[in-house]
Amino acid sequence: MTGLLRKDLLLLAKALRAFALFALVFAVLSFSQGNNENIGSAVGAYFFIMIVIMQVSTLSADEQARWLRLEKALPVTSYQAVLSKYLMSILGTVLGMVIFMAFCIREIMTTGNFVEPLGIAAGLAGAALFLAAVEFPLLYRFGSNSGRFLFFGVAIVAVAIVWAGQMAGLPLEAAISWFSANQTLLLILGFSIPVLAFIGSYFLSVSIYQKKEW
Amino acid sequence: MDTILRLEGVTRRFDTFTLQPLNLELPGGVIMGLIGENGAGKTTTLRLILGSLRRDGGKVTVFGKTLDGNEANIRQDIGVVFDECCFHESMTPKNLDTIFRGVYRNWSSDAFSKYCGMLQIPMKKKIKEFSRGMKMKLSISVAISHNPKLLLMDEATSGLDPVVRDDVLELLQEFVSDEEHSVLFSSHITEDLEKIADYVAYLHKGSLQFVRSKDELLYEYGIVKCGKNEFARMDKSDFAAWRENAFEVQALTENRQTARRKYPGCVIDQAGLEDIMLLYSKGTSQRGKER
Repeated sequence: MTGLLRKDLLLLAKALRAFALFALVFAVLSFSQGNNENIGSAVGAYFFIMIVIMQVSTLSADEQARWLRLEKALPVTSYQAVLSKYLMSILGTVLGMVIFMAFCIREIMTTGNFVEPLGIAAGLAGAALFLAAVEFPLLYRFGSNSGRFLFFGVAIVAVAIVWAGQMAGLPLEAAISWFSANQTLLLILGFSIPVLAFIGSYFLSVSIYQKKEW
Repeated sequence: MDTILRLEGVTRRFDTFTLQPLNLELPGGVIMGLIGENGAGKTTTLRLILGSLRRDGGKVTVFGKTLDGNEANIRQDIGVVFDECCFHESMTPKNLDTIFRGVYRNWSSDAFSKYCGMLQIPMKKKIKEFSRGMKMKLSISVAISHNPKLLLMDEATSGLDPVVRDDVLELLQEFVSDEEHSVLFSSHITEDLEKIADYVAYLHKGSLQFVRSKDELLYEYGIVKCGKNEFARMDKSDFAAWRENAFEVQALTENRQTARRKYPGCVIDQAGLEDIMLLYSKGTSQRGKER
């Protein structure tokens, strides 16, 4: 399975090098601009999202190269093949967190508060894992093109439901305030929901992968 | 010779095609050609052996182990070459070496470099810059660099020029020369199989027609050529299949010498694999129905 991870890292190597360069430039800029402490975290969040999206795109590259046909003939189980993609997601997320925190150094040094940026990074990581959990089974089931459209469809439906809830007068803001006041519960839910979704998504993807005949 | 691959009643149904229960054995140290027209079931057979396609019935045994539940382990000793290159175009052969070191337990970077050198594949050039022939040679180098006991090739030489095809065939001959490796080579380029195959299995419309040694086919099979009236008087059970055209009848006999004695007035030529395939697939059979 390490071969599959190496393959994804090699596929991303060029993009990661470019991102590292941009990240460095932005980090220097954000560190030197004392008048805007939030620029670091904003740019950091941007890079974070890009990195998470990038590693999902390896599946699309595999599809394009017809690699999946060969993969089914290699000495790797379905569990290992899918696990390699999910591990790449975790690696991408951790890397995103590191980059985000690096961008927040100035803010942390100025305010002395690292809990807040760390909380934001953890929140972004949870969101990234949750998104990957939704996206992977769609990509495996419908292929990268249709899967991505469906993923955006799911995201639009989710936003529409929230919007409809607001229009219908559901006390969403009150719920957000309540969660903000109950930090412990928020942390537990913020951690457990993405993790459980991620694990469930993995087994769902394995089952889809096993049925696929590339 | 030990049997390294055994298919027993293996079958698979699709909407428009069914692979009839297939029984096939591949001894160690041989090259077996799997011939048949497009859509005859060659690729399906190879994919069923790999376990990348589900079976509807039957049993596949590779290296003495049943496939079910052992797929990943068994594939450690199988090399596969498809009819197309399945590597990412942004990669180089050097990258593939890095990847496959983490895939196969027995991967040998030295062997890979040796095969790439033999086939003149540049290690640091991107695959997108390779010609189809080079991509195919690269696929074969990757497929044999972990020293597999069994090499499965699916139409690997189609679309290649004669020079590249010859390179590939030479490499295959070297691969089986130690008699520890076997090759199951699906192709409809019968010329290639006439050069290198020890055995030939013929699939037609999802059904295995025969498995014979190539020498037996080439030395014993024959094409009897005669007029329609003459053919009408002949014993049809002497022929596996026949075809009529405007001028003559061509009939396939499984025993050229016997046919020569029995029908001395007819022209009887040696049958090539292509003749055999054409007569089986397009001719009329002994049972008198169109195949």
